[in-house]
Amino acid sequence: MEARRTVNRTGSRSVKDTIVTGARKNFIWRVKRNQRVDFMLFVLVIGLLCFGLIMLFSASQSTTRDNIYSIIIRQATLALLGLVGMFFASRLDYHVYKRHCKVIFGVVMVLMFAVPVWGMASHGATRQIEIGPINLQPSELCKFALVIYMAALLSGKKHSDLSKPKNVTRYLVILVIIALACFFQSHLSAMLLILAVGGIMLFVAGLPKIWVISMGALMAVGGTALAVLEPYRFRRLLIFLHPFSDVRGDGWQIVNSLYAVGSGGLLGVGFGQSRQKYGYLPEALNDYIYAIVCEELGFVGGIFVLLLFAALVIRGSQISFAARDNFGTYLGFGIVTIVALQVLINVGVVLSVLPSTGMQLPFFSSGGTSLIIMMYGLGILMNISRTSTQNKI
Amino acid sequence: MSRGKLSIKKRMNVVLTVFMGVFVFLTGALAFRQFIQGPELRAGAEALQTRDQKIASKRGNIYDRNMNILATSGTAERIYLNPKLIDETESEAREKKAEAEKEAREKGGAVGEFPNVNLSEKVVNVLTTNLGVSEEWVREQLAKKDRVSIEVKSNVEKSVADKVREADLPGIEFTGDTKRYYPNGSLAAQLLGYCGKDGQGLEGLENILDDELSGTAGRVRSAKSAANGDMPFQYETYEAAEDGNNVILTVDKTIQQIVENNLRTAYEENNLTNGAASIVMNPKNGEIYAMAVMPTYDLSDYNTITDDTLLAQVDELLADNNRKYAEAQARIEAGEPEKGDKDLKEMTYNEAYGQMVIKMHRNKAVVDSYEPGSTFKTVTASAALEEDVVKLDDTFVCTGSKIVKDREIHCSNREGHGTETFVEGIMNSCNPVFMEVGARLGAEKFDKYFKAFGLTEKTGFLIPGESKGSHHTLEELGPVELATSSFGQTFTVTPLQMIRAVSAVVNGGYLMEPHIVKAYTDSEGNITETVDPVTVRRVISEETSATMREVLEKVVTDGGGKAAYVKGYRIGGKTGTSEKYPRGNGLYVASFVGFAPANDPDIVCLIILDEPHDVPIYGGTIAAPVAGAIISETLQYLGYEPQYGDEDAESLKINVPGITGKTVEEATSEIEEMGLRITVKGEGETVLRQIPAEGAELSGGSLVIAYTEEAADSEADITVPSVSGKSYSQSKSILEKAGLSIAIEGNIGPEELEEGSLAVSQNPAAGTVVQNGSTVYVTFGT
Repeated sequence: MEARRTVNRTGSRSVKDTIVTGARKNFIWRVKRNQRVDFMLFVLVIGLLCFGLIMLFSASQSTTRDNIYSIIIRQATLALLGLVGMFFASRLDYHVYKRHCKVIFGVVMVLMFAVPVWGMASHGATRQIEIGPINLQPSELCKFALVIYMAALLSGKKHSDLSKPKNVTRYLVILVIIALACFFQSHLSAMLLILAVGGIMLFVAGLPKIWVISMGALMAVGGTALAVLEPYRFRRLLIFLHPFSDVRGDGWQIVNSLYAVGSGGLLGVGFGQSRQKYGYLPEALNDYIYAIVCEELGFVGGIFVLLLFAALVIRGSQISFAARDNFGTYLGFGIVTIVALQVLINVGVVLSVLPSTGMQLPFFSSGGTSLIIMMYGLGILMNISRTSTQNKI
Repeated sequence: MSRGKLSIKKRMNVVLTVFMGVFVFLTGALAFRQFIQGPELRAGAEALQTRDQKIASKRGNIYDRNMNILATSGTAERIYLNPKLIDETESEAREKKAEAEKEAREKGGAVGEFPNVNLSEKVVNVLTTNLGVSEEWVREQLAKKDRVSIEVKSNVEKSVADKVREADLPGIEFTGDTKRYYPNGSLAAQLLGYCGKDGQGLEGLENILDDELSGTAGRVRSAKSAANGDMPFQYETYEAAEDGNNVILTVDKTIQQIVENNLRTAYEENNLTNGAASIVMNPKNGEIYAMAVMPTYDLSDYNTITDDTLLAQVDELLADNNRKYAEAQARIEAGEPEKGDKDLKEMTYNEAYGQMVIKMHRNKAVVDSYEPGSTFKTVTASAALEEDVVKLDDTFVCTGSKIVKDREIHCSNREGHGTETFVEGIMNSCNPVFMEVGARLGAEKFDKYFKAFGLTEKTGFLIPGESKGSHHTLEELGPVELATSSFGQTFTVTPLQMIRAVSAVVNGGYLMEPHIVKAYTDSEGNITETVDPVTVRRVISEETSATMREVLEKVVTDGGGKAAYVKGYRIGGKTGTSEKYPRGNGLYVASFVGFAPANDPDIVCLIILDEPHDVPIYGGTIAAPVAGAIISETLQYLGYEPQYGDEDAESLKINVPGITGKTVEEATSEIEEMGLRITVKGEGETVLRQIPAEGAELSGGSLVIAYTEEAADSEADITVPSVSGKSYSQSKSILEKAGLSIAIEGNIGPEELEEGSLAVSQNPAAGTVVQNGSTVYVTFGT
């Protein structure tokens, strides 16, 4: 309530003043005793970041022939930038996002639709925008923008009542627009993730049973339609059920992922000793890095990573629930959901219990700006934890 | 607000529970993959990641009885192509180059060198120039971008491999290999056989002694990256290779050369269309001194036919087959196919060539059977004397033929030999005499001796595909069959069976097992096993054998085998001429079996000339002189001094008369009167030139070549060039260009040959005029 009033008051001022005043008012310059970031959350994030960097360093030993440090230096630089972002986000009052939710969402959506156009013009990739040395994937931003926007709407007065079909429709329209943008980028995995995040947020906000059931039914129909209309694509999708039927073809990636995991055993072949990373496992630095973790550190290492993420999800949920207001709850839980879904899908693909999709493992996978964005998101969660009433450790 | 929050918490807990459930499920999946499926997946991964690399074992040497190397192995290399690595390296370099160019455009500065951007072009270039593979083939292989190991060439000599290595291109890989060397070229080709490109023995002794020679290959099992690159510190197991054993043969290189030189001459002079074979054996212990087959081939280029007769036969075979095929097709189209028409296939030149290559590889002396003809009379006579059914001075009457049952069987002399003793019958090779003797023996005893002399069984000789001929069984052996068999027709034996039987006739009656391996040594040269002579059985008594030796010596001194007589040596033997089936097609096998010294034979020699085409075709005329030459040269080599009688001494030295300018007829009679032989080369009527020149001193029975055409000169004789101071390969190429072949004198291994050994002497000397295709023996030293 306090925050809304600030917006009204500053509404008529110049942009520069807004930023300066906003920063002064919303940035925590001195942390009070009861405003500390949740320590457990902090430890988990830093732990995962360090572990991720170490494993990426190991996995990158095979491919970077000229300079074994080139990949890790790049990733460490991104991690440093991410830390800066995370620090900033943890000190910036998260209500800022609610106030500017429309601007944030609008800008990201423009980027989302700009990508395919831009990409076509430059004959390059259709999922990212090159800005100087940085490759920005708007779909990464989009996940968080959606969470912010939905959290803002769900915690507002106007659109929070999901028993009204008009409101639900509004959310669905938003999701459909994003799905379309992803479709134009032919970025299926991002589309699924964003739809799932949106769905889960709606569910948490009290979506009536009838909607839940009908949306479930819609997904079942969609899956059947895919199987019928594009049987070839469908078969490829299902190769994960029997990857050894086509070891040298469609099954190659999955088979090599399983070979890596299976080679690990209880304690693994030893840190840095992976053999599958020598060209056998495609995307060993990216979507399949968890397989290298399992190969080198075995069941123990694999479980350790899962436990860290599970702990992060649980702690994040606790923080979200104990947030000062509903916006904080929705925002925090949305971020937690993004992390959880990415981890579960990525690991599911590596262990071949899910069909292969391009899903990165947060903190571990190399590449682009996703690490920075993910860390900024967790910075927001940390900011929520400052005023949240969860049991502080 | 508080109610809302509770509802949210409930729903959040549902979601969180689902998340945790999936976490637990994934933990289970992880355990399943790592523990339940672990061993299987680990094995799969290992199979994928490791490559076995064979370490070739050094194949053992084959030596002659005096430890001259007949076959040896040197180290060589095998070159592979890695298209995947080449593709990856190339595209990586291209990307980097593109980046650098972009940078250079933006910031200025040089682009720098990217040597791998056109890697595949360089690979094509290096492989085609050094290894002689076609550009097309290399490009085809490079296109297989998922392959990591394609063999380009095996048995690459180190010097060549080094040139490829110098280029230092990623994606060209090397492993050790051994290369087989046959320092004597085509010497004993069909006997020795050769090795395939993987070092496995494919023919002859190389094949049958493969287990002894090949040793055990070692292997390195190491983990490789997907592009077949090395992994830094991964597991590697090593099993050392075990070198093969050496084999020492009973063959004597010099005797083999003597036999081949004489047999080659006979092969060329008599226009043989089905080849020639010869065996020289020690009758006392069954050791094979030489075994030669013509036409022969170069062991280091074993799939190439150089012989003109064989090449002509390739064309014939092709034409014949395709004519039959066309006729069959015509019949099929006309709707009236004959039986078997549909099985006919069209043949390509390569298929026909291939069939002739197989024929060329056959060891005729062991694998092909033939009708022995009159040479077999030695066996019939031995049996008859042993059984005492005939005395040496028994008299027979030959009228030129003999009626057996309802058939008239002719003697080779249609006029008849008249009244003759048994000894004269043998000397005249009279068929009616042997029909009579065979009848006196009877079918049972004939069959008993036929078997006893080993003519129905394989000799156990170390050659793939030894055959044993075919013969009448006792039941089939009626009076007519007995009569024809008695003088060596209507059954077949192999040359090896025949020489073994004759050995038993003259060695005191012992049937020996012919053997080719004298001893085996380990890879260090220590003898591990010696092969002792094996007596299979006693066939006839010493007395009968002694009688046979005397009689057969008379065949050479005064009978049908005169042409084998060489002054100064006591040679015994028997001629043979048999008409091939179907009778009347004008194809014959001329043969001669001889032994020396006649009183106590140390060598037996069998000559088979298959399908001579220039008259005469008789064994006594064309095979006997070859045997005489081989036997005398061999005896001389073995250290038997010639013993001249008074009569011999007079005719020992003959001055060659001048025949140039004379007609062929005049020249022939003049030369033959002097006790020399003449060969006319060319189609002309007057002799233009002669070798040797007028006045040269020759021994009786020597050959004088008369040329009647100028054109014949260039084709026939060659002035030996000098190879003094040249390396082996230089010498080889010099001599081969001149139309001569090279043989290495003395014991020298291929490594030494390649590492700076130079020719120190040659025989015949430079400037000597020799016949086309002669062998020049070169001694190399450092």
